[in-house]
Amino acid sequence: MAEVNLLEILEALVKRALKKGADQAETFAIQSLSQEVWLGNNSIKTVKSTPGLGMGLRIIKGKSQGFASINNLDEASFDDLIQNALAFAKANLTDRYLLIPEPADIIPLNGLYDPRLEALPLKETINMAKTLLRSAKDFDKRVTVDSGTVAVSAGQKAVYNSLGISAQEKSTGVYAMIFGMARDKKEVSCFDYQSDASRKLSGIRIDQTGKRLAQNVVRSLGAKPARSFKGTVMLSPYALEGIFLYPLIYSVNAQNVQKGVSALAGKLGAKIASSKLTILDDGLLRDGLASSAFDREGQPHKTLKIIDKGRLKTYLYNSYAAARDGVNTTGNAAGSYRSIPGISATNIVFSPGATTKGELIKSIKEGILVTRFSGNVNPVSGVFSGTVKGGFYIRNGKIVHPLTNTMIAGNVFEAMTNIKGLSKKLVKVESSLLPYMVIGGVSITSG
Amino acid sequence: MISYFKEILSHIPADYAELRYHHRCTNAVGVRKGEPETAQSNCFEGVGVRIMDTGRWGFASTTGSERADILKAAQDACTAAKALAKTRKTLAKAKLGKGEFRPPISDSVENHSFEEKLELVKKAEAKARRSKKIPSASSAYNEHLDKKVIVTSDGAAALITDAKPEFRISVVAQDGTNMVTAYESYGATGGWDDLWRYGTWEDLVEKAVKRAERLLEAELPEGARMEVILNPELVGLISHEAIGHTVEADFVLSGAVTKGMIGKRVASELVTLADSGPSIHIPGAAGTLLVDDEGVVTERTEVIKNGILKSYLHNRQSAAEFGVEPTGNARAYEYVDEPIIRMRNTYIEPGKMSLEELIDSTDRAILLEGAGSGQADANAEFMFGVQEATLIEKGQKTKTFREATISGNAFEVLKSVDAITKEFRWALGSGYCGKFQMAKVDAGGAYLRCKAIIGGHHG
Repeated sequence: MAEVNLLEILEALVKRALKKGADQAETFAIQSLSQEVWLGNNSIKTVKSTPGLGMGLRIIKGKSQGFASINNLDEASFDDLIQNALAFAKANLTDRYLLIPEPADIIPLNGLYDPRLEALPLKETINMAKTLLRSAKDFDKRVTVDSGTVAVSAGQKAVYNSLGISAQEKSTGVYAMIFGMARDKKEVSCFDYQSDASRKLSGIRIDQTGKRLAQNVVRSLGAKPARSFKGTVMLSPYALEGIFLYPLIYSVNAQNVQKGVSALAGKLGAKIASSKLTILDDGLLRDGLASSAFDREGQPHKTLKIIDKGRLKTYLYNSYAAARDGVNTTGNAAGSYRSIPGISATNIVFSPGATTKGELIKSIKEGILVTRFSGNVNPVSGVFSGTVKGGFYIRNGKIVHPLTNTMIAGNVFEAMTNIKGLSKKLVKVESSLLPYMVIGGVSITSG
Repeated sequence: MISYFKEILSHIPADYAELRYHHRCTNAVGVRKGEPETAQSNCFEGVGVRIMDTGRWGFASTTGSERADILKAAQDACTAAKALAKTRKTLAKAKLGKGEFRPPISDSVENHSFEEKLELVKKAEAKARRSKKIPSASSAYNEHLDKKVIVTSDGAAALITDAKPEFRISVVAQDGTNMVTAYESYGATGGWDDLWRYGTWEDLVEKAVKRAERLLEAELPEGARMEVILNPELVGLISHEAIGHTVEADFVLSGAVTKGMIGKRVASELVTLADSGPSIHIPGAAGTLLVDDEGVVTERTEVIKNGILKSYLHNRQSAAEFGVEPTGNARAYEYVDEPIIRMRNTYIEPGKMSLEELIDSTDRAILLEGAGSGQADANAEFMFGVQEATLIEKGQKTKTFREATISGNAFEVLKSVDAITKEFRWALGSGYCGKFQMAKVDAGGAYLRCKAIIGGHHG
């Protein structure tokens, strides 16, 4: 990849925008290249190389805002971009809180860039995909790999605005994902997926990823229903991600609090969960998939305690939402070059519990273990309802049999107050570090 | 433009090569609670290059459409293919698109100004909040304006233009700590008038507000396996999510439950299910695709005919493996994506009775309306959220439930179908399907009665 000086381009764009009539301007650009090897139907299906390139321009004119983006970095595109963004700004509704942020100190973050990944020959990426496939297939011949990918990427991003923010960062990443099932004669198990990711080549365990998938799908063969009851459910880190993370992140997003669609509005400082629960949003997490020194607006990332021993400590802000609440941004501006900065969590990290996964199972008199959840979670009310995938029936502290035709339903915000245990080991699920978690009061429909 | 890409194509040294130029502008406006939310224009232009050489695929893409950049991407694609092991994969012969393709448009969305679209979402959102029970609402409009050129080394040479507008309204109703949401949308392929073919924006806002107000009073349902009546949205959702994905040939090859089931009974004989590139029955289906991204001219693909499984959904490679004709289901969302097997407009054919007759003839069932998000598995087990569930007893609506879910095995559910009405519509026009990349799809049907599991909440 021929590296360009992003900041030089963005500075020229901002200057031109101001000259053309913008009061303030903010630009964001990316340049990247990713090599992806795709698995499909138990073999390597295709190899794909994808360039990422583009710049987005936000203009504030009076009390209105407009935005435009394009997928190149050419000076020839400047005028169109500026014209589009200005046209939108001129016609748009006014909003007195609009602003672009002032510069703040950014401390460069180590560990985001691995030169070995940027220079990795395609053959090596293909070998990693082969290992991923083999580690699943070799585990048991009934395993069928529907799809998967190994992706290696390298790139840079930059933010520049008319108040003096000027930040640039290089990074690399490697990501593996595998999706499949087990087939035994006529029986088809549930789908399962497993993934791993790192910023550095040595940080990923491809063979373990495939093996975990194989273990899960084979274990879920021979499934049968249990009985319907209201009781204890143990969530795997993947199921925890599927059920809890969306409503949690949604309701601490300051924009949603301000819009009146957050169940956690007005709860700052209040006890909203069991004292066992401490959750961080760590934008500086070592080897985190969402780690970066700065956010989409060029504000420094932080390590934030969202929930501390059950108490809600903060909402997540970008500059705009912070201005509305009269507070400082938390550095959670997010989004691509194709949109106005929104708000998102970075790496969500749960504080580990005190026990092992095995001890958690032993503590359950009657309940189920949910490996994966496939269903609906209402982020506003916290109500979740869906099918248990790769689930197991637990009785007297022991796993009895795999489950089928089983649904669970409950409320995330109620369940947070009814946590019975957390495992001390955390598992990386995408950009999060999550434990096994045992909760009570869940409706289980099986049969 | 076609000749420009054809000339470049002639320099690519592979058994098969395909250039796909894609220019798209997406314009979006949105308002929430009287305040601006979105006002943006995103444009891109690029070329995806896919090659096959001795049974090996390679794919690469480039931004822009410069000759040198396209040739560089072609070289990358060839290098990628050479890194794989040779296979016997081939491509089935197909009816390839040549010339210009565009859906009929009488009133282009481009004739309507950004100000008009902004005014629309402002008015819609404000109207929703006129209800005392609706403290928060949002409305959005967006449009995809697409231009594609697809040329392949075996003869496709198509220029495709189309436009897909969408309009949404979402409302939050609140009474103390009791909070519910309701959501309605339209989407179409075509012009401004196509977007409003089922009603005005006022109708849609009214529908969302009334639903939210009813849901505020509604109870949570109890879990049970019972008779249900699905509305066109849910018929579309099941057709797409629970049946459609299991007949995508790539899923079939990797072991979906439909493997080896062609010619077998998989549904009640009342059920005929199709996935179509052109819009059937009513024009403007949002998943309309005249030529697919391998250059294949699309058609209506009958998946289930009178309850018997007839066909899978194919791209050119899977068609060759199965020894059948391609169905025109290869799609790519952007130039950086490679074409994979995707659905288009998926639906169940309507029946002859009216909805009124269906309800009159129902002793006890739950009428399910409004699709939430849903998932389905390779064994056709599915679970979908439902916005509103209404108990029908002896032909009368007696009770409303919220937060209901429907689940079951899609084929078992379709086998239990005992009535389908005639009120066909395309119902998921603002829908997108995600399968490693996005696709603009539509789905629909009429009202249908069957048996399924309603997910519930115990005490």
